[in-house]
Amino acid sequence: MYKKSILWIQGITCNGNTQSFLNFPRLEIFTKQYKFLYHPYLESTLDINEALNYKEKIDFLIIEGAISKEFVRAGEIFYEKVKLLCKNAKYILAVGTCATYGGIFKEKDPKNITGVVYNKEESNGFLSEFRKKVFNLPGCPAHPEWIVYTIETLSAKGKLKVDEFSRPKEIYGYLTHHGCTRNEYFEWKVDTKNFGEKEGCLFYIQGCRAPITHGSCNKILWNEVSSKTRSGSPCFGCTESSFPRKNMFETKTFMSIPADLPTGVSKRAYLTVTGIAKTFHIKRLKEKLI
Amino acid sequence: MAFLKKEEKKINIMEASLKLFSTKGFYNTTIPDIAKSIGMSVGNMYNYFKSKEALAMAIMQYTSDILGEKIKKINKKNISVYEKIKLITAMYFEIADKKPEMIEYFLRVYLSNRDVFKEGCEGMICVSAFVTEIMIFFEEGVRSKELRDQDFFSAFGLFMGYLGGMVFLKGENVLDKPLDDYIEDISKNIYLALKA
Amino acid sequence: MSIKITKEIIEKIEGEAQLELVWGNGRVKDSKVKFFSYRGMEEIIQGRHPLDALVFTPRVCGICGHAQLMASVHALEDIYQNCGIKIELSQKAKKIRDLTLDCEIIQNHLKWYFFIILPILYKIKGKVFPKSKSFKALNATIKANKIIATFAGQWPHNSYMIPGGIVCDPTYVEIYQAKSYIDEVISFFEEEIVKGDINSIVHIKNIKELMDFEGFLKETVNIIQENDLAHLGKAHDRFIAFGENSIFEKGKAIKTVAKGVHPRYIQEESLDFTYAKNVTYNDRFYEVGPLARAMIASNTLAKSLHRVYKDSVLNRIVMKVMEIAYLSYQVRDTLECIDINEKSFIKPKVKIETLEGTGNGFAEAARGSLYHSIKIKEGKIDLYNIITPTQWNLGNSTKSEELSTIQQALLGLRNENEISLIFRSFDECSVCTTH
Repeated sequence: MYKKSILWIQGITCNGNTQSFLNFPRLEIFTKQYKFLYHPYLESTLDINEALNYKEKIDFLIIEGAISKEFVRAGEIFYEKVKLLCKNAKYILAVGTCATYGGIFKEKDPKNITGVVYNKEESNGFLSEFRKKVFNLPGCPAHPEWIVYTIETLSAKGKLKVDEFSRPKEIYGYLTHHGCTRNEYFEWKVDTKNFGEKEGCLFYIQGCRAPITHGSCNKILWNEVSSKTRSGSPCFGCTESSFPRKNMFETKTFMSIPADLPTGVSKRAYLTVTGIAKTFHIKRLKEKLI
Repeated sequence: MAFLKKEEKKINIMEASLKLFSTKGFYNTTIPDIAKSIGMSVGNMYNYFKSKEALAMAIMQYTSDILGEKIKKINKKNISVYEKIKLITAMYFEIADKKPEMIEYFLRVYLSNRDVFKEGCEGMICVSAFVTEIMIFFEEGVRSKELRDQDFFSAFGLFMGYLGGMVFLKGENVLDKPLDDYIEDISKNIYLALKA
Repeated sequence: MSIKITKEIIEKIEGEAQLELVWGNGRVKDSKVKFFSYRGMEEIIQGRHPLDALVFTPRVCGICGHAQLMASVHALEDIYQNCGIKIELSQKAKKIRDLTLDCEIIQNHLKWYFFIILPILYKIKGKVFPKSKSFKALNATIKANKIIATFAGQWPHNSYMIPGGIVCDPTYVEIYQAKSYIDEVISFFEEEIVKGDINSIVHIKNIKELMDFEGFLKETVNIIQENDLAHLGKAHDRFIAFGENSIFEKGKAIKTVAKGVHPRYIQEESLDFTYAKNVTYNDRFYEVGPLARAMIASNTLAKSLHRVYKDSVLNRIVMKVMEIAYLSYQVRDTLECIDINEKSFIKPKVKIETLEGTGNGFAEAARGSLYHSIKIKEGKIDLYNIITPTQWNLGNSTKSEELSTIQQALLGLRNENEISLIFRSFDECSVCTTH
């Protein structure tokens, strides 16, 4: 039976997406259904140098990490090799925020490090010539379900709906905010005074970017159990081109009003609804949950 | 059409009420008084407002909407924050001059009779249109770095408390100049206090 | 005397390294480890808000990011202490921080053992290691990572530790869930690695007792002994550890004598042919990692093995595998004595951006001691330095009197199997080493 091939190659990376992928609960069966030409951790058909110099067709080329023209991997100039791999690939998955927009490692040398297609929000990444077959899965790291979903859907249907950043809509159409267990506090603008408490919303003071960030973190839970916001951490907006941001544990406000409002909501609309909600005092929401 | 007429009638009732509250006082004015002043039967009045409390709350929202709309127009202008402060101050004083019953209502009825407004006017819901525009004014001022970033209520208290205070003094006939003459100094004070 | 030089790419170590070996008379006479590139995390962090370090440093590495987070928060808290501001941490916050880091170490060791070491050992005896066992181990790592996610939101890459405590406020629901997961990890260890009861396993005193239990660890010892590998891979018999937690102590041990350590004696040295910097303590090379930790804590089994095998690959591998048992046992213990009524987070009296000064932070990562040092000036990070465990183990000596730890360990090896086993017994991480 013909097994579709996967070649997972890394640019400038921390290996976060690779390790995240190892958390996929159905990994064993997945490795039996696809042929892993190369993977940075799992057993593969080729070694790293063979993978970099692979000349045959590839079904799924997975690129993890940011792209620079000088970066050396296993003694070879990565950029030259990955270009040919891209040419021979049917689909290219840019996995992680670094591969999508440049991410954290772009900050080292902003002019000379980009994502595969995107360079922050500009679409002039060093491999943007291949944009037609690139699917972006930003996230720092990307969730394993997002990666497998993309591979499986492309395998079965040959295409999937994407947004303006070529991110699968079925994953990135949601906001990280959808499904947060602190939603009621958001609705009634009850901010949390401190970290380490079950109560309160982290959007107003603690820097949570969930209402402004595209992702499924509160729908497809991390490690099948939780998410940043469910555990009291602000969302850092890691799926967006603005990651990494500045002062990530604090919400930028202009006179107590968040500088960045929930995606697509006008300032007047937001303030009419929530500005007033702030002046209510709903006793139940001011009390401890337990 | 019927809807518009109903809304117009409501506005008539509210405007008439404002005038009576201003001359006779809130507690001394009855629903029959108001009905009589606009030639409507008392029974019909209750079709528009279920109670005097409901009328009181609706009036607050109504005046807030009017003030909010005026401030929104000023907010949308492409002028400096200082110019906006002057225009808002001027607008507020103009209403105090031409429709004193409106500002008086706010100062002497809304602020002074909290028990009337406690159910149905929680927080600042009844003045939401007005407060929203003030919030936008402040937010944009800080964003453009003309105003100092601070807690909203500190700035709000300074601006609105000051303007309300001046109108109160006017109402008590303590000021020896017309309100308009104070616009320049007051705007300057507010700007100097809030600027970045 | 025939001399030849071989160069080989070692891969799947969170990246790659090039191992250059000088051979003479069929044995390794000298070696050099070269890393190809670096990403510049220390430069990237410069100029940023101090708390942002908690988001950036986990991205030094995908498999030990949690240890990076711990070292970062310790460094930030140290700044407060150095400025005379007391940071209070509740027992609950300390325990939860410790146990999630323990879980990261557990999952690292399981991956290393089942995806790298056992396959090499099986190859040595001419067999192929069954993949299904590797995936069974991977399932156990998934459980360990669920424990981390239960408290920290996700693994990899969370930032749930902040100066003053942790951001989560768990209920007993989270505690009992974590307990079930660690029970599953322990169960895996008892079924596959050392077949017995964990309560007995953690008290094993010597190799004789160890061999009474069936399982992969017994098989490991057998393969190593039967193939004359048991005395290979010895380095300088010098161990060091800076981080402390419920089972780790800080100190250094030279052979078996343990003493105190101070960061001022740590030296880093750049080299021109590789992006990894050497690290020495008082001008000498040390070993970090599970064996080092066991020796410094005077672990009975480690000392017993040491009497016969010193710091050979046998001791190194056995103690790393046993660390899985010790840590799992500890995690279960810790979960039982957490008082959730304590505060998760006690807010520091001032904001960190108002301080100026330096701080040091240590943590024991899976592979050994991790060190972060930070300097804040005018509310921003002025300087940030990271020294990772693999830097300690994988130096390239520029001194004639002494080779680095790995260079010493590789001396005298005869073939691919031996080199592979000894090299990987140190469990290198390419991204950490170069950061």
